[in-house]
Amino acid sequence: MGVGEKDADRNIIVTTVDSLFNWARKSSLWPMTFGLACCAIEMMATGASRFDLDRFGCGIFRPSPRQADLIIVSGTVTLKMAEPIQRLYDQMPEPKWVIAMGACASVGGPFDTYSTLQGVDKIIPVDVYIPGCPPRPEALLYGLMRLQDKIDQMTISKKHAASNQGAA
Amino acid sequence: MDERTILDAHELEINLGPQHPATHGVLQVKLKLDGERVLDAECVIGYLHRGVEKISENRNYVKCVPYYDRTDYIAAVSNVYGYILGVEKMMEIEVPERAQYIRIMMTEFNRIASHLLWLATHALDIGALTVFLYCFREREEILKLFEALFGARLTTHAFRMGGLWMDLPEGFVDEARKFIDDFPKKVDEYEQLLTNNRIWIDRTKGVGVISGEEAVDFGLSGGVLRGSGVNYDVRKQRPYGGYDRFDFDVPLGDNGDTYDRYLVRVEEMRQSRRIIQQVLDRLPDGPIRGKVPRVLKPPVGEYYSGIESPRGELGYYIVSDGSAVPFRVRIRPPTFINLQALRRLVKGLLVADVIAVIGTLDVVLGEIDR
Amino acid sequence: MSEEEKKDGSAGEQQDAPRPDQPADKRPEPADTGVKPGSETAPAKPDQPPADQPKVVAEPAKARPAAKAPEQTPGSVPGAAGAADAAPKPKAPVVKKPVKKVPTYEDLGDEALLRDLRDQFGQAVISGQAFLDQQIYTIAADSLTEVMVYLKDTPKWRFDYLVDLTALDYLGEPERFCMVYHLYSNPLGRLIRVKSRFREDAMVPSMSSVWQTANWMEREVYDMFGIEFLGHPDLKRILLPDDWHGYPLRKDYDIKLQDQEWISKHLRIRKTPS
Repeated sequence: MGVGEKDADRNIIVTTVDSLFNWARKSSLWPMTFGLACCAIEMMATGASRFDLDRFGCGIFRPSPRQADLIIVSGTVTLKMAEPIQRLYDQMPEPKWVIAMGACASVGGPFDTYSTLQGVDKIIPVDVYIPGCPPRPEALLYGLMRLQDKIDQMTISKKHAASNQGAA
Repeated sequence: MDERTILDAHELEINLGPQHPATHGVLQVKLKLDGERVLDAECVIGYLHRGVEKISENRNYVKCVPYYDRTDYIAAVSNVYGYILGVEKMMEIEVPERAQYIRIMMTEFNRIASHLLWLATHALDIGALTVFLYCFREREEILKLFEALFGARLTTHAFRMGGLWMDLPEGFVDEARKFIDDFPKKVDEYEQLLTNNRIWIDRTKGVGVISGEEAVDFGLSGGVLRGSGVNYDVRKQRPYGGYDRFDFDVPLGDNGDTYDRYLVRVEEMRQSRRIIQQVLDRLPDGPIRGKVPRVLKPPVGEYYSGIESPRGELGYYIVSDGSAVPFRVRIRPPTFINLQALRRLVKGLLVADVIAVIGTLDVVLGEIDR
Repeated sequence: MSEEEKKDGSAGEQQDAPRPDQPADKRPEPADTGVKPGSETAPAKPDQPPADQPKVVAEPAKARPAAKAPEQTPGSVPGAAGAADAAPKPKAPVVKKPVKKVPTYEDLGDEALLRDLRDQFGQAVISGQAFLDQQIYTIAADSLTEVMVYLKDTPKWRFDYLVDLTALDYLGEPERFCMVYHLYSNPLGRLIRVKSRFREDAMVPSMSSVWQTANWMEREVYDMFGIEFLGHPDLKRILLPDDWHGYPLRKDYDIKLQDQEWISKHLRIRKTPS
């Protein structure tokens, strides 16, 4: 990011570069195929033809975490699955975002039991929470658009970079 | 570690899942390979174990119902049906005829929706992306109907003890008729894309063969069992909820391979449409809910209520100790038992065929792990 | 539990006592039977034509609880009590409501399969019962394998399909666990249930050599209850992680109890903003 840093005090240049980078990032968020439970079916339905995810640039689901920059945790996170999730999140390159889709991923949902992690934010930082059980495809699209708004706030200059990533 | 390098090894252990685009959820299969050939496959499940059976011991009979939606989330309507039939039988609650007919209709719609999703993901795994989009198009129509009647698309909490929550809204019957009039053409479309397709036949014929006797010994049920030629459909053997009043055939396969299972399920979609047609033609008027006491306290006893879910025989073994909370609810998951046969089915196949076999078993991890 | 059953049995219906504040038209049956027009004259409106039955029923029913509320005890059936007090004692009600029998376990008596099993195994067959037309055979623990093999292999019965295998936990009883098997015979089209009680530390014979279905189902029972199976090829946990401690479906395992040792070993829990 040497380009922006040198000219960090001349605001006008950084802002344009910022908006360019942000536009590029938010318009081509490639999610990882990460459907766990019922919300995964609604995620698939969002990707299908009626509620097309592809028009957001989000249509290509990458199987490998190394090629994805968005992880949509859709479904209940159990303790047994939490380990692989941690590993997958660590394998994703920066910048990366997390959407917790559904009640189970946000806070554990209706399953308050011995084997369920009460919310995926206990192991990875979450950017957007989408409530619902399961949330309608429109709700997922709205969450995605809110994430895009969040990405719009990002900046490439290192000084203000703390505001970029996740919920601290 | 001995002197051999990785090139000398005859056996390679590879991990498939739990995060994998084709495992239909969080399923892990540990494969032992010799080149591309599978020597052994061990399934590791439990990545979605949420403790639904334990939850059932802590909620009263009515509050348990939404949890059963979320076990087999693709066929949520018929899931709930089995449990509610069991409790109604124990409490000897009478369900009015109109409610029975509507329940059967919605269960069959759910069977179609589930088979559409099965076909979409199965074909997607094998490589046919178009079928995915086509099947989801039809599925959206059915989900619109669910939303009109139940209020939710996927996890519906469809039926209530004694009948239904709400009667059919205005225009529902016309929409349903429009759908089923149109549906045979759509099924023909899928068949046109797949049934005589050279690539499809090469990928599915002779893959994952299991004989009828072995299938029964493994306890398989549903399309997997009928693909091997065994005539076992709970709707015919132990009719429930009024199914004996309707005319339908049970398609059977010959060879027990993936291709036959595909044909069986596509034909089941047609038969479900036939049942819905009969329901709509004969739908009686009347109340939609029978008499149900305020607090459900079944007598001390136990009951096994088995239904034919799109995946096989789904059973609810309800044990009551006379209180408002069940003593034990055991869910007999068809896919858990079907998945056991994976090890036997993939021996000697190629890695790509493993994906085809997982698809043909029609697994739903929510039901396997509960 | 049995006291409530008795009370329900005596009322003839399995319903809760209607609450006085419930609107009369939602009142369950017992209130209505008391005031059928023509059976006895209701005190409020004796000259109402029969066509107006709902109104006739509603009014005296409303009047009754106001008079009877202080004397009503929870659990009693005010309908029967009210009708007796509010109106002159009827000679016989016109419509007699059939007394609903609560389903119970009934002995199978001289049923063919039970007789055959008793001939073959004698005392090992503890009982044969039916509940709501489903048959339950209770077998002694040490003869379980022989009975199962007999049921599967005999040409007369051919229970070739093991539908379900599970366990029940009766905490506090000496024979704590009860294994439950559902068997189905394809030739006969018949579903039965076989139960067998075991002590807590007993080893249950594995059915995986009889039916291949039993393999994973027994692993699940081991995972959830801690029951060990003798002769199982691969007995290890299936749904919970391999190094989990505790058996969740036992009655003394709290539903929210998470194995903290396992969590601290395998997961990195973040500090979340609350």
